[in-house]
Amino acid sequence: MFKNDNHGAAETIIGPSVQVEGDLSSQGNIQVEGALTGTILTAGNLMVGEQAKLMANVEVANAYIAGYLKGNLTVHERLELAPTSKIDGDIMTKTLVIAEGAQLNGRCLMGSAAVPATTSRGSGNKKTPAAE
Amino acid sequence: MPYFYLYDTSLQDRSFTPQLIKLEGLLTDLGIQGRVGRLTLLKSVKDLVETAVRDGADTLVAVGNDITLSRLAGVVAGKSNLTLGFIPLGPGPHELAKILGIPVGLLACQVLSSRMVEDISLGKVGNYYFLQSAILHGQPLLTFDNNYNLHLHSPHTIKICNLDWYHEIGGEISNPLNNTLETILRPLIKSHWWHKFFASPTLAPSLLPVKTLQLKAEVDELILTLDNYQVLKTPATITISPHKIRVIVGKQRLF
Repeated sequence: MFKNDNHGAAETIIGPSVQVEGDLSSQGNIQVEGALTGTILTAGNLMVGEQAKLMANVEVANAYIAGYLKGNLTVHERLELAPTSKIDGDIMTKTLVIAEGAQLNGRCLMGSAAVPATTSRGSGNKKTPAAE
Repeated sequence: MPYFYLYDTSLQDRSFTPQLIKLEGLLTDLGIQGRVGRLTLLKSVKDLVETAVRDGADTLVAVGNDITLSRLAGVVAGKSNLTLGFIPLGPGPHELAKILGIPVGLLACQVLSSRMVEDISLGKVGNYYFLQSAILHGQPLLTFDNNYNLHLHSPHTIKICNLDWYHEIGGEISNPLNNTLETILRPLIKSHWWHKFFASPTLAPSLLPVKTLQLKAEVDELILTLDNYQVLKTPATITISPHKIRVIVGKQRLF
């Protein structure tokens, strides 16, 4: 599924019987089979199962999506969309593989220049106070 | 390195006397003999440890099963000048022996004398420590590291592992050296009569690493069991206490 998958098994597995709300950050692989609302940030790989539903902004190294994602998706290396996948949001990735039947509703930016370097946690959301 | 041997209550049975005599002979041959203390109704683990430390012991050895070692670990937690050993003997469970690479029975003395030491973490709930895992059945609200909440669609078995198997997901062992607890959630499925003829439905378990886990029951209090013997109630906050005890382990350990 992933090239150069040095991590192997998932460090975090969200099963179909649970629902996550909040910011999930990790250094390893994440597998989602249930529901998640919030953000996902990992230096590893993300695998979203067919029955999974994500309402989240995601930033990962590699991703394989087979379920539903509403939100922006930043993938630093390779993004693969399975036939059962549906994305409502913008994607940024270096390499993109779209299977027949996958649905993408949003902008798509590609190539090394399109994907920013890994952002530090929370740095994108800070507002600079206005000078008086 | 003065040694102190803490015998579990189950070893008071006469059937274990020959084994204990052989054990003490073997310890003397290896040069690691020491004082012996027996757990009774009147003498708790804490009392025996205080007496041993006062008498100059710095290596405390649990002789018994997993619960014996867990109880000793809870009392010794945080005391960096003390080292724990383990001789699995008598009635089980002996899962910790396999994980720590210590053979069950008198062969454990060889591991004790080789003195290979690891600093491992403990889980903590309030003032109580656990070595293996904490288990809960029900449908609590879980908050992980103050970052995200987990809602359960139905009652689950929730196991928070420090040094234990999680058979539900590929038979892995949680690593007590990575400063993280592993939380495994498995849905409880009602058994129906037709499951004799058709396969019962299974839902995949969940696995989440955590350093701080808050458990709150929405309706009634839920029972939280630490290491199969200590019973607490929700709400509870479970944290990881890294490098909390020094344990003598074997070469065949599984972490």
